[in-house]
Amino acid sequence: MAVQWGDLAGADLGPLETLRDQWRGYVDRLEEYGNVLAEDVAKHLGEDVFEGDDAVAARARLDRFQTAVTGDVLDRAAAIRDALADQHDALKGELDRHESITTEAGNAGLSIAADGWVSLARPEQTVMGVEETEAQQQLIIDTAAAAAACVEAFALADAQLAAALNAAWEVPSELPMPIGENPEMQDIPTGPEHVADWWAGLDPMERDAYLEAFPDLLGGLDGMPADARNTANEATLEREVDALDAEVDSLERQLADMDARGVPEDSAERLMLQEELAAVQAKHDEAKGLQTNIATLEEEGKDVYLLDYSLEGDGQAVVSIGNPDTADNTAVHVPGTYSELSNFGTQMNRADTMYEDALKAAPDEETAVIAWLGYDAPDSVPQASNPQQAHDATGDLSSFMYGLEASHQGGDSHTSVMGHSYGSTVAGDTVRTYEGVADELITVASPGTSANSVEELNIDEDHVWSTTAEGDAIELPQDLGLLGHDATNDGFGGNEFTSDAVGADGGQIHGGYWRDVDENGDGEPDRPNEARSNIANIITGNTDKVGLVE
Amino acid sequence: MAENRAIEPDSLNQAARLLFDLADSMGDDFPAVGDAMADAAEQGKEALPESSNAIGNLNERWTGYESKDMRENATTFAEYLAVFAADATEIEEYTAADFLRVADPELFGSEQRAAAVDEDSVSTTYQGPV
Repeated sequence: MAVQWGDLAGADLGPLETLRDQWRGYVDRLEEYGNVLAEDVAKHLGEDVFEGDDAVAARARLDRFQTAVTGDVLDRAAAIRDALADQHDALKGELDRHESITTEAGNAGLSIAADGWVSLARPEQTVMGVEETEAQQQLIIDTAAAAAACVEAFALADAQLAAALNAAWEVPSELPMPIGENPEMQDIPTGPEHVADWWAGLDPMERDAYLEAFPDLLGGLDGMPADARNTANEATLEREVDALDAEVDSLERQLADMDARGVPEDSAERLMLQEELAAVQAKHDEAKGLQTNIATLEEEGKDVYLLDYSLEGDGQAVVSIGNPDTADNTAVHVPGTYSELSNFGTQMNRADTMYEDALKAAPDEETAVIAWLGYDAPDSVPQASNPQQAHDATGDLSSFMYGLEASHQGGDSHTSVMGHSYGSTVAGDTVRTYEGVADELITVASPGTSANSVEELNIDEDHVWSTTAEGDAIELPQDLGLLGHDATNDGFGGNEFTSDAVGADGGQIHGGYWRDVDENGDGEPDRPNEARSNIANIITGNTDKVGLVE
Repeated sequence: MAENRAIEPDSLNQAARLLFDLADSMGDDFPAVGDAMADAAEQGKEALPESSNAIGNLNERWTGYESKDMRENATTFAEYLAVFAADATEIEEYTAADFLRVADPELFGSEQRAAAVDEDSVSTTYQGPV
């Protein structure tokens, strides 16, 4: 309901005056807070008393805090103070006018009702002349107009004060968040470079808060540093293992209950439960297996980072041996057909072998080798004759590679993307589809790179490397060319490097590139497969030492 | 990563103490403003319907902001610095009492600090960021 003349009669501006005075004092106090932060606290956090990354972060946090308090917060508080002062004066002026109009009307024998209606207070008994009557009527009209104007101006001041206060509703957003307090998912950017920049701009406490709030998201977010991804993924994996443990226990109890109730062995109810238990147990074993494989490498003194994983479907995992954020050389190994989480240990062993070989090839450099099962690999040979699963993986692999570059500290790292078998189709298709994925492309026992010649790849042919050992079962699909070709095909371009055929048949040779060679047939390893030293030289940049096929 | 080092731990303690004091000051100063907003919002409903409503909303938003974003920021920042200072003075494990003593040796035992150090908190190992 709109304000009326009568409302002004009862209006008390006392609470508004108190509020105005309180905001005046509060603005003064905010200025003092800002001074404490800018001068007193800053003095005790100088570079002469506190150094290191935390010190830099602490000074940055102090700066943001102080800037917000003395900037946005103070500006808004001052606007509130000024609005209260200005509109209080306007309202007070209208109340004074209200009083004046009331007094003048009373002196003239007029009465103003609560709704602003003006009338004679005591109708005159004497007969007035025409001029007197007209003058009285004019006075009534003027008084009513003055009263209406007063009410209108009062309501306008009320509306203007409301508008000014509403404008100050939006709280300042630039303050650093309190530790552990609701970090917002919407603040997490997308794109590896943006992610890396965002993370670099957070202080250690903010990072902890985000990792605690969104481990599922941050664990797999390309551009995040390896140690943060590892922290998030290890915590999530531990929780998932615990949950699967509990689920296994529950299903086993239900089966035991069926035993007690005498439910027949072949009942549909029991068979369904047994099937469910087997599936949950398998998932549990995959997750535990991943933890165990990581722990085994860590016990050998290696830095191992769980950069991503998923227990969905066949399961996926990305594990780095060595820190890719600080490594001089980083190689990403993409496995092929039949790869899934249940046999991921094999891929970690291969990555570990490459890591050890790289240390020997470049003992003074830091190298990281990553086993990247970040895609759904074919489950059968017929599936592997279709390039679609490889092509579907190119977006994720390229994003991962860009993320490595974005999170790398201190200069560029020499990067290689290597695929074995169908994994080489993934690696090749990624290099064909995206620019700047890696410095080197290595294919081992490749059924094809998705390209017909090196010219279709976004990489110079001097940096394309391929090998296929004699007798490898992959030779047949290579000949078919269903997935394109690689450098072992005449006319493709690039470099073909040497490798030994290790294994009794084409299938064993296909997986024998990381095995040692038994030259004299005594069952004892004599030397590593040549492919290993060649791969090590490529990923460490010693390409002049790579043994090429004549 | 650059190694972190408190060259003068006491200086960090001083910074922490200033921030604790700042948080306390905020806690002392703002309630009167909040009360005044609540009073004005209630008293002005008839004659000042629009601004009364706006004052009520402002009170709610600013009070939440002031306590959460300003006061907690000052406090958590102070805690961080205090723990870092304690780390630098080679205290291996912090109880709440240790933490407050290190953070604010002079104020420890004062009414405000003593209220925080009840029996439970003394026996709780501090789990703050280190």
